[in-house]
Amino acid sequence: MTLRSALTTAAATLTAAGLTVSVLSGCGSTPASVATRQHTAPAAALPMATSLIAPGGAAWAVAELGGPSARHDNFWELLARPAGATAWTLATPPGVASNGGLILASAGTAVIAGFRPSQLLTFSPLAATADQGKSWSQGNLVSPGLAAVPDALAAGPDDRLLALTDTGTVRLGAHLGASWSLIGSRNSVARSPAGRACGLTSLSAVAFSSAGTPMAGGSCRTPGVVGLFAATSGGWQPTGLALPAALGHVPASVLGLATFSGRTTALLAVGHGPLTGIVAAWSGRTANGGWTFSPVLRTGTTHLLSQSLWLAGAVGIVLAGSHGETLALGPAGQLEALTAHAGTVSMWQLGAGSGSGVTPAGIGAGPASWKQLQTIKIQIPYGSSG
Amino acid sequence: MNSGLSNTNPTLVAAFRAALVHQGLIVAALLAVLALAWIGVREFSPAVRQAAAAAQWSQEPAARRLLRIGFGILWIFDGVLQAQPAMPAGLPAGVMQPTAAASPAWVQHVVNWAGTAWSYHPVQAGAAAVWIQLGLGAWLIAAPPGRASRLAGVASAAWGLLVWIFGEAFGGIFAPGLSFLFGAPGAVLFYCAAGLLIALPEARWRSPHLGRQILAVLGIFAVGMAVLQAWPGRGFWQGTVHGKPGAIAAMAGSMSGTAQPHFLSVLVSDFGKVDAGHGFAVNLIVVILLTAIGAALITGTRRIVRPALGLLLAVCLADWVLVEDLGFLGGLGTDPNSMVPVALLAVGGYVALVCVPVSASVTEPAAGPAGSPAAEPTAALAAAGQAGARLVRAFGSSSMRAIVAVWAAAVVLIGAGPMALAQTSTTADPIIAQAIDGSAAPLNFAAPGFALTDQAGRPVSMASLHGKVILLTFLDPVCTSDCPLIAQEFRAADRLLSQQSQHVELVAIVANPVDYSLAYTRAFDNQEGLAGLPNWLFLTGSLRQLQQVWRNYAVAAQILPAGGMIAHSDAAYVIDAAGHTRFEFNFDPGPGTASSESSFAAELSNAAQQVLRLR
Repeated sequence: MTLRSALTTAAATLTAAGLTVSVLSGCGSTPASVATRQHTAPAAALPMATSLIAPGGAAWAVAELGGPSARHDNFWELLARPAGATAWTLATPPGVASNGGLILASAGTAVIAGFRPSQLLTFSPLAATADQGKSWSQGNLVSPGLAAVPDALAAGPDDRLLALTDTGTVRLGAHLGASWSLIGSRNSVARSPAGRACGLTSLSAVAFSSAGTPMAGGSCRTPGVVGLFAATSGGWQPTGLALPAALGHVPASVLGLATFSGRTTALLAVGHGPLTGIVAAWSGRTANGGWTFSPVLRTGTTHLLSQSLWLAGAVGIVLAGSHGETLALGPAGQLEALTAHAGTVSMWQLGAGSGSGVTPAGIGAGPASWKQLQTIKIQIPYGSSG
Repeated sequence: MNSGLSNTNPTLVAAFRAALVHQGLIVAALLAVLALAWIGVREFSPAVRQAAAAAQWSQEPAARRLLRIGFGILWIFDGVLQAQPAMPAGLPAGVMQPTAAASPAWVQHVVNWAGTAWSYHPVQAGAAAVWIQLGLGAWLIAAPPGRASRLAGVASAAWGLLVWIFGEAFGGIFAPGLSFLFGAPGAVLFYCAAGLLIALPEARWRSPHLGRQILAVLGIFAVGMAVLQAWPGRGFWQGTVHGKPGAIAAMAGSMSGTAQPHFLSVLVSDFGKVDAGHGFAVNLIVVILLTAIGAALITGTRRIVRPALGLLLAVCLADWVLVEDLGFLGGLGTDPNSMVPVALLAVGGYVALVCVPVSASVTEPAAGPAGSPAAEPTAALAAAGQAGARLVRAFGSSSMRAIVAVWAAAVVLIGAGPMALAQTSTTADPIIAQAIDGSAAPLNFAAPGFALTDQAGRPVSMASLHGKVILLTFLDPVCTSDCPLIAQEFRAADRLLSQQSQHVELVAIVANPVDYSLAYTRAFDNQEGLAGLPNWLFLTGSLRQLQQVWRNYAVAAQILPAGGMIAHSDAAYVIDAAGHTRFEFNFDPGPGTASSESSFAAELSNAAQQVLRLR
């Protein structure tokens, strides 16, 4: 059963046409050429549906549920699958309306969730769990609120947090966000020599480097330049990530950014309009190790429904024209998909031999068979935030 | 711009009805007093009676009379429509806002200003519109020739201009899709034109020249509208566009959905279908008719104008029924739309052209000439003094129409007065808050104590606030909807209290069992601009302390699963300086509009002032 037919059978009301599930992984591939007619940065409309695998092995996924017509009747939910378990459970932190979205950051074995502001709330409450979502500790917050991008929050060594806010500022938090300091903004980064070389138009992701240096990624006007900057004592510096020659004539945007096991993964959009493609880049394991790239996945004008950056540099994205799906990795590394509609989340697993091995692209288009693992009915608190 | 209340909110509807009844009683009483005084003066003063008998009235030109009475009836009809229960809450959101929606931002800004002013005092505004329009109508109908009726014309034009600007968003002339068929350039602009014509010196009506001018202007207008109707790319030539109804068919389809008698709905809907199938032909007919009518009216030649007038009346009738759908149905109609006033104006112009009065003498009744029997002072008049005597004599010798006209002018003032008075207040009517949450009953019991910590980390207890009036509420610092609104209502109440606020503490207690740290109370204060307010306290404590306070005040603070906001009670208390609860309000902020926020603030500050007076 393909994912699409499985969804139809399950009456999950998936209206996506041409759903494409893609997994990018591996290193050292040669990027394909992407042509462009205009030297403008791709639009940075990033989905907030995502998943992550915490170092302890627990899996986390963020999905949007509720009514699609009224924004404040959409509720973002956090789902967790404890290490070694096969079943997912609802683990949304309590106490705050999740209508604006949830941003995840992995802090060792702990996971931190940030609530995006919605309606009249302008800051982002934070919640942390060290027991895979069974209990949450709350009390810290980010103000102004987190930006509406999946990698607006990152955790680093020494309980430090890094936040990209709604107003385009980059803030460094100590003690898991008990106090914050401003370390940059879109304007300050754009004014730096590296920012000027890039022609920075916006910031879209933050992460700590393997050395614990705060980094921020964004969109560049200058073709061939990737807007990935590191906050050093000398100001915002380039990280050395540049598109390979084959892509030297197209603009790029950072879609996602994460560092696991001493290695940073950057998910990039390259090109423009129907010629847009997605490419993953991985830093070397040493400071001067250089970057390697995946082949380009041509997406055209199809937008992303979700993006996930996992351990070992694996990247999962879902392209479609409709409702939200999120990819996750199963306990044994097999691919799982979460579909969400109204108050129901369904988990699907890709059958053995159906595209695992995951070289770029296209497992959804082939004879891949998906089997339904689990369905969770969630009592959506409609109207509770209106 | 609107209050956010339902059009049928029972509190608002009841208040509106009560206002109409109260003002109606005043209006009736005024009429009775005037009538009795007039009859009395005439009865007890033979001189006045003789003066009245001697007074002569000029014959008013027929065209002027037609416009005066015709538009008088229209104003009365509009006034009756304004008395619909849905008007106080519904006019800004249901009439003004949609009318201005397609207009440029500056027009929307102007209309928004007026809509906000209306929504701050919906009852007074609704009642004012009723009485002003009824008064104008009665004034126009009753006013005898001369200054009284000319003044009525000016008043009619002035009010019409206000309605045209604010109520009709300049008749939509700055919006795309302007069409004669849809009522352009606004029905009330024709009321204004008629008012100005009535205000002209009567001598102007005693020549066919004025009639020719009226018809010529209408002719130019019709030709202009024909050009607009024929202009390519405006959607009138297509019955359907990409499978959807074209402009005319869409308008008919939309109007047929209005609450109305079934046969009318079917008629309008059928016309929409005809246009959808034959859009080009329908528009061609309209363009040809408007051009022909316009050209004929411009000539000013009787034999050409007459059939053109007949044609115009037929077009107006067809459009009024089939496209404008009579204009006043559905609960929020404010007038019968443009076709009736256009037709009335055209007929008035024609009558002015063909029926020129022979007599040109104008005599306005006033005090009788000196030396005449009527001028001889009676004993009563002499006692009242010369000036008073003249006034009484003028009053008594006036015609009944003049007395009714005076009364009608007073009705206009009775309507406008309370509205003007309300507009001097910068705060919204507390009726809006009461319409949302009901009224608060006065109480008197000891308020439960608390010992918590303010946003600066200082201990605060009920005892430490002794001597101050406390406005108390419970807020969730990470709430996304109600709590920020309630906080702003408290802040606005503090502003209203002005100097008295030094005796008042605004106190909020955290109502969230999860996020209750000082970081959150401070973040909330910063978010709401309350950090610098000297008498603002946002209190928190340990969960146990908070739960105790919630229990004491019967406040629920319930965790909802799956990303729901904390469910908690929206309540506000006014506690006097001795620690006694004097008022308890249900304080759900409702729609959170500017007017509802201002209304809650007014309600709260009024209560605080009452309690301050108890000190």
